[in-house]
Amino acid sequence: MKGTNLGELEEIVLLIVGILFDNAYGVAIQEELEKRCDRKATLSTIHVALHRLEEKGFLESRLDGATNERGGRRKLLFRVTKSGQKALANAREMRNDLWAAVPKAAFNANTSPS
Amino acid sequence: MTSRGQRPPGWVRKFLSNFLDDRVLEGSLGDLEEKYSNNVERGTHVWHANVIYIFEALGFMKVAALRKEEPRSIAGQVLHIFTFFARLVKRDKSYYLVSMFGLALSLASFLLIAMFIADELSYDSVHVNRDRIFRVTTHVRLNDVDFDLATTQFPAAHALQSEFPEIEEAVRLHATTMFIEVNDNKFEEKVAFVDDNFFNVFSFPLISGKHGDAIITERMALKYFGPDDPIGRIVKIGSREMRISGVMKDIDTHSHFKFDFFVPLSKQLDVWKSENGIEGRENKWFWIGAYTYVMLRDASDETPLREKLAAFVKKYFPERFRESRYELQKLTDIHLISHKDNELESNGDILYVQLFTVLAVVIIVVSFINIINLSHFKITSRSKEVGIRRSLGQSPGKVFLQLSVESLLSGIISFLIAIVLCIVFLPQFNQVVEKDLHLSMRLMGFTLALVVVVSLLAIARPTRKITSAGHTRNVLIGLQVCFSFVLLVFSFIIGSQIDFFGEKDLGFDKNNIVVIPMNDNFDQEAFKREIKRNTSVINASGGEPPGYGYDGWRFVPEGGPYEKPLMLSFTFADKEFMETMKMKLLAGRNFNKDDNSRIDTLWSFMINRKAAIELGWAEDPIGHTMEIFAPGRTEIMAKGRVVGLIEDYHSESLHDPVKPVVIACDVAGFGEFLVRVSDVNGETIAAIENTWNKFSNRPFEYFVLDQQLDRLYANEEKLGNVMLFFTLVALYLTCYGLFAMSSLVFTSKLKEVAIRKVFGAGEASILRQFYSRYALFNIIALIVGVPVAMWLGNLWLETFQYRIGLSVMFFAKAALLVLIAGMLSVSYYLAKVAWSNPLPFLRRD
Repeated sequence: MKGTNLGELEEIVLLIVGILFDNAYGVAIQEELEKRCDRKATLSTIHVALHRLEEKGFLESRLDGATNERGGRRKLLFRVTKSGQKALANAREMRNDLWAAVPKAAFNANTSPS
Repeated sequence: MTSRGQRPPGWVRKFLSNFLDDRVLEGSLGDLEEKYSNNVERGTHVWHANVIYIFEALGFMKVAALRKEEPRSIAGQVLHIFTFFARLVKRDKSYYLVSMFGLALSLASFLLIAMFIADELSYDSVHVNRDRIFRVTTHVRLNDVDFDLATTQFPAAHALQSEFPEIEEAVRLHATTMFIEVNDNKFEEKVAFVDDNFFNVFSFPLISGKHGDAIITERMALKYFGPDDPIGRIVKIGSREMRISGVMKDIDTHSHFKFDFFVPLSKQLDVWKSENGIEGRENKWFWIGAYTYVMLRDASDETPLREKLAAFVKKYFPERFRESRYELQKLTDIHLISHKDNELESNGDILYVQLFTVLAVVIIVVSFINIINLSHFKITSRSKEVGIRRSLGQSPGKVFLQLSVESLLSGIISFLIAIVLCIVFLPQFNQVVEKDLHLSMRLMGFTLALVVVVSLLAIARPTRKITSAGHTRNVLIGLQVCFSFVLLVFSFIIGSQIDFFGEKDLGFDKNNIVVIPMNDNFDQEAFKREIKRNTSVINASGGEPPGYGYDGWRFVPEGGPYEKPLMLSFTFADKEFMETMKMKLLAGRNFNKDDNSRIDTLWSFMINRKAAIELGWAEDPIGHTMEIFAPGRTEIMAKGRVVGLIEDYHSESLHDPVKPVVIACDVAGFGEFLVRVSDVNGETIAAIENTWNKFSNRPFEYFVLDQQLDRLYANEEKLGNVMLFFTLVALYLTCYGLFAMSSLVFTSKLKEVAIRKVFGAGEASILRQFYSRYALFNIIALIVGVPVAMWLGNLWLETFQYRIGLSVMFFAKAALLVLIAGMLSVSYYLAKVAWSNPLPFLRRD
């Protein structure tokens, strides 16, 4: 099904939502992404990813936790769902399988050109 | 730390709020703001933080684009359109308010006029057989004078029916005013004597009782008998007793005749027979006193029947009436087209219906032009928004839907306001036009449909090329200006014609004359002496006021042929009449105390100039004699001599030419008394009433002559008021259209003006350029309007025998008014543009 595979950014965002556990929202995710992956993404890019993930059922969201910095607005907080976890596990497993299937010689030849 | 309170630019929030749903909006804006404040806190320069913020925010359009994949419920879509519309209105309050009010005003005007027209067109439509019923009318030519009569002779109905098999029923109606005596109470009523088949032809359902004897209306039953059952009761009509056999529903006001009392014609014929012998005048073809209606077997028989009528006239009419013809009038047309002598009611006028139709169309067209023009501008100014909508994936259909629903919404809101306006102003309007109009569902439905069509049209039009639209727009504006101009000229013409009625020398002084109907028998000579003793009374005389003379008298000048008598208006007056009415004696003398009108003496006549000409004594009428015949009589009534010649005077409305009048001298037995007073007020009336009460126990009645005469022009006055009101509406609509247009056109020209100013153009030259462009259009519109206004004005003026000429002043005044109103309408925005500071507009790009 088209809707169930994970894009690269989507996978990372999904994982970061997991890392942040109960405090996963736009700005926090953006900062975490920069800190851990050294990747810059605009807020809207992150929101698009979050939106897609929610549509696929991997995330669920709620509005909560207004603060002054936010001009009194609540946060749109995300949490990974069961099927989100499963999708992450699948992706990891698939990657592991793929890693395992790569012959050693192939990577050695490529990674050390000298 | 001072920068902590820094807030990001607010417009971004508003902008995003148009695209994101509330939940996402809340989270996104929160995130944006948190990031912003973080940036500021970390020491990022404020403007840099702003740039980041705006850049980030615009990115959220991507999120908005995602939302469309989510299928939205229809309710959600409708809600979106509504909220969007509400926001538009909020942002541009003045534009929407003014345009909706303008449309509402014109729709309300349209509704009112349409009600009036529908009402005028609905006469005599209650009759089931209305399409087959026709009235037969007579056109008689007698001694080179034409008489156009709504009536025919009494024997005509039977003769027509036996002659033409296509006539299913022929029915006669004879109308007269009689005294009705009920339980010793006397009422003066209009009575209709009708043939027995009258109720087969006309649909007047009975409520109770049956046909056979007198039929009265519900209203009359209540008036005579209150709650008692009227069936079987006896009333006295004139000198005869009559049984009431049935009660019918009141006749609808939309009928060319309104009677409350119907008596079988056969009974009246019996009376005449006993009075005049077997060969009464009702059996002859001389007396044209019966309204004759024919019901055809098939409506299509009308044209063939018309053609056969000439032969019928030839066969039946007596020698004297040979140059006559019968005409057929469709029942439902009578109210609007028939203006003959002896009409049963004063009829409406098709000309006014046509004028009002034009008026309604003009008002509605002017306001629709406004809508179309403005919405065109509004939509082009929203092209950015439409662009964003399209680029975010809204389908063209959706964009179209959004725009049409908005247009429809403002149309429908205007329509609702119009209904409210209509309901509020209907009582006043009813008073002005003297009708009892009601809003009908059909009319409202029609108007709503019209609004819907135009609202959609307003959206469809801008899809055409902009350049051609610009030309159409100018033409449409020119058309509006032209309409307003024509209407204004017409209003001025009506106004001065009405003034002319008041100022025209009628041949007598109509002011300060009190007319007293003499409804009692007493010594009128003594009454006259007594009434003159009042200090406020200048003069008094017995005599008919102008317009109250008798018709039907025949005159044969000395040596003239008896076969060709003259029909002249005839009246009696005493020797004070001339002085009281302030008429002008041209030759001869006034009546003196030796003159009288006893049967056996030579009568004295005064005639007016017109009568002198008709009698053939234009040069010197004094001393000539003539013989006089009473209506319907063949024996000579009297012989008389002309003693005085007076100036022509207008006895009837100025619609008609001056009538030839013969006045005979009398000393007593007048039907009316004329009293000239120094001033008509409560005191003088009370003084006259006191005198009256010394002579009679009957209640005192009176009317004031000039008020009575003014009533002759009530229709014109009514038309003038209504016309003026709706002309102002049309002018307002045009001005408002110009105003709104100028706001849109000139603001779109801001940059052009700014550039020209930078290159040294002064305010004056900019104003001159814009005004001259605008003035050119108006002048073309006015030039086109002049012949139209002339044609319309002449069309109306030609209904008057005595009328004003078209003066240049009407056109100049109207043109000036239109130009000034138009100039003022465009000036506000023009001034704003001309005096604007050019810098901001140049900096914008």
